Amino acid sequence: MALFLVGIGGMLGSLTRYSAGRLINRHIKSAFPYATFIINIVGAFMLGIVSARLSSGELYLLAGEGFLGAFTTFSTFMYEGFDLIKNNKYLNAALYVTATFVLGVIGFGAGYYCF
Amino acid sequence: MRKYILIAIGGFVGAVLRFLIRLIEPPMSVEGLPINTLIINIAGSLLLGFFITVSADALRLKEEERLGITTGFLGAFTTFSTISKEIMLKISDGSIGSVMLYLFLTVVLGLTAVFIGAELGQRLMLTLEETED
Repeated sequence: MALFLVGIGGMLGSLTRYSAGRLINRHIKSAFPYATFIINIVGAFMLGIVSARLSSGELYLLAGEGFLGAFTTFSTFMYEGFDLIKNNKYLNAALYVTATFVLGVIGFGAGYYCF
Repeated sequence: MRKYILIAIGGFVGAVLRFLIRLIEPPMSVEGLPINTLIINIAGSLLLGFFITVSADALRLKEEERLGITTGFLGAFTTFSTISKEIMLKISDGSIGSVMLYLFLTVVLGLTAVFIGAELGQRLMLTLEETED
């Protein structure tokens, strides 16, 4: 049952990430990878709320471990950072990686402690 | 439609595999670091570097099948929200040294993994071109 809940959450999280990414990219045209940036920070904030509210149980497996775990992503984030470095956009790369971590952790904290 | 089904399947499998690996008790604790998450994210980054660099054609896959692997499977297998949680909870424990080490390893190994994956992909592409000539 646990595996099924995580899997369903992961399935919905991936589809939401893909659709949200396309939507964001349609509205913001930039060399800065805003889509993954926004998705990861929003996902971290939401995991803060989910972790505070559903510290254990099946709903956490579905929403936290499954959905938000899959909605946010690390591999694409790193690929985009690598791509900026490869194109000699060192400042953008440093800004992207730093801002994602700083805002992601603050976002999680805001969700966890304020909601 | 087929594209969404493939992303959904990849996302399902990726999340389940991440969950199972996170359940494994690490054989040793290194400075209290969340080693499981680190390994998952680094391995996923290496594979993404590879799969983005190698053309779908060379993998004998359709473009939407590759999307199922990259956006679906690897996107869901690796995670950022969990890292934020691990770091925030460590900060509130006062383990700042451990946070710094975790951040450093995550970023340096993550970028290096993408680089190695992309490099391997490029070599495979070159080898394939040569065998065609």
